[in-house]
Amino acid sequence: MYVVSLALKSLWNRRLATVLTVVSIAFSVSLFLGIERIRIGAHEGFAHTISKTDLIVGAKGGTVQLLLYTVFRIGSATDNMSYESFEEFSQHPDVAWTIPYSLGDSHRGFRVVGTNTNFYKYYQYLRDRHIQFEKGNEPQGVFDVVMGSAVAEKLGYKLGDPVVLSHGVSDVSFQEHGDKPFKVVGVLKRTATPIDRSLYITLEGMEAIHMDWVDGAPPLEGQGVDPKDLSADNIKVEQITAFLLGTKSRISVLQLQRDINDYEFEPLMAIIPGVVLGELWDGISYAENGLRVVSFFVIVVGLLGMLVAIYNSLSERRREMAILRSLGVGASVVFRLMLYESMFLTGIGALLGIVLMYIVLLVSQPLMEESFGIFVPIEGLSLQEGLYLAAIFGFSMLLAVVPAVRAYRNTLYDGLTIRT
Amino acid sequence: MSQVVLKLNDVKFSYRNSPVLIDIPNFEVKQGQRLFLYGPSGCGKTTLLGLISGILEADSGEIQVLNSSYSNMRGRSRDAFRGDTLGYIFQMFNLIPYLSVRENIALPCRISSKRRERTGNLDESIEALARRLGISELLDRLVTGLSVGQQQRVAAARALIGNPAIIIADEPTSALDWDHREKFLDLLFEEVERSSGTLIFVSHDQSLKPMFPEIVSLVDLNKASRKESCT
Repeated sequence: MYVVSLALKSLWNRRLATVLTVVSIAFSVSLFLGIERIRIGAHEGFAHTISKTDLIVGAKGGTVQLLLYTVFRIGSATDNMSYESFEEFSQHPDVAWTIPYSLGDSHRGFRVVGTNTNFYKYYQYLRDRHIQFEKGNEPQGVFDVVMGSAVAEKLGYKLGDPVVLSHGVSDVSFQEHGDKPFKVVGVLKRTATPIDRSLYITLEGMEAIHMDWVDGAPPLEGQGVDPKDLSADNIKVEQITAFLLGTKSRISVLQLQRDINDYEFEPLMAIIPGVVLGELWDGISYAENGLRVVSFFVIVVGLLGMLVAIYNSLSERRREMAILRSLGVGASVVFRLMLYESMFLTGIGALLGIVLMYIVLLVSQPLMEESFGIFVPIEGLSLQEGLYLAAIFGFSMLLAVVPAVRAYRNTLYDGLTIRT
Repeated sequence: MSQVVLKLNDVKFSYRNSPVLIDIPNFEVKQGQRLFLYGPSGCGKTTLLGLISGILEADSGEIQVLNSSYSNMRGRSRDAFRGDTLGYIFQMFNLIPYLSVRENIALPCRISSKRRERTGNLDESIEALARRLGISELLDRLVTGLSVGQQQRVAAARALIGNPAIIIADEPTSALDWDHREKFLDLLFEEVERSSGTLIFVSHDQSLKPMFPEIVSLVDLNKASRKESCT
């Protein structure tokens, strides 16, 4: 027991070096754990951007492309599909629900999604969360629009404000649907998914703003349809871009996917979102691995700092060891003394690192969710993290053997000679 | 007749690949002796002390401390035995810098349970020793601020606590001026006598000889000492 207290007192005697070492270990541990949590948070968020949807169906094209424009609202579709096909699959006996998406317009850089009430009823993300309203309610009329939370916040819209949509999805659009302004009737709650960054109108609304266009150009002044004449009853939806689909039983997913891919009236494609999300993540995971490598080396550097600090202290402690030796302390005890010092430094450093990580997470959690859509839950240490910590501890013990062996050898060599 | 506390019999020692450094046919120290071991540098003084304290192992012959032979002990038990039976005072830098004076003095009792048992009430013993050595007011100070003379008295207290059978003092006064040397030696004698211990005082300083009842010269004792360098 006196060895432990000697080790502690010796460390306290060199407190500046001790504190610096502990702090550097704490920083590296918190950085490592923090990066790991953010990485898992990003992966979780990504993998659960959309949940419970069994298939996403669109015109034939690239699978990743289909996923990107339906789920992430990035890029655009090469082709639309007919509303008839959508209706046919909606009525398929294995299908529980469908959510149609009609895309292609935007508002000041944010995508506009034409959909129906199923979206508000069936869409799920982050495992089991549904779309909820912060204010207002679903669009009822043809020219009603609902805002994603990020859109409402960024553009500062309130309920009742008029909104003019733009044709096309580029940030700067030259063609505006100025003849048919919309009215904000609802704002969605934050989801921390791409849902927040879109505006939602009805399929009829989407059809209405394009119905009087001729050859891809807006109607001339005075020749357009007066919006007052339009209602959901007299608009026939012809096309949609894609639709999401939930099955009654997951067993039928693969068969349904095959049926859609082989659909004879129109070239369609169905993807399983989880599978394509996985492919997409694999494609960008090199960045993730890069992060892990960096944080691993941060740990190594932190522990090497400790090694240097202890090693440096050895020469000035040779006489201390000779004194202990004269008092009956064995060389093996000297070895242990050095190990205890490293254990203490790593242990306190790691504990401090964990505390630091929680503090940083607590402070940065809202910021990360807001700015990057990464939700990092604040929860206890996971088994995986426990293993990481054990590995860090083991590695530091391995490093600690170096100065310990050195001290052991010095002690044997010096005997009772006081070297100064 | 007093008991023999230290006995060397035909002890030979050499470092690896070096000529024989120690060759002592016979050397005995009896209990209660205050022995001046005159050892100019180059006579194997440090090596002999290493052998006596069990740090070094003799190549041949036998070293007995309190009738126990080192050759029957393994490394760890030699270390423990040293802690139990020997008090050691170095020339200088005797103290652990990060412990207080009191903790330094108490250290042997933390390491050796036998010394702890012999001490009785540790705090009282430390205070009594400190009083007699004139370092009472230093007890709760850190050792870093002490003068050399004070340090050596603290070192003496540490060597004496728990009444070890043999006190080995390796040039403990060489850093002190003459006045302090005499005073220090008087105190040391007194305390060794009080604890019925034995003092082996090693020094190259002939001027101290008159203060000791028994004097042994390492030059005569060690057959391997080279006459030309060891005078």
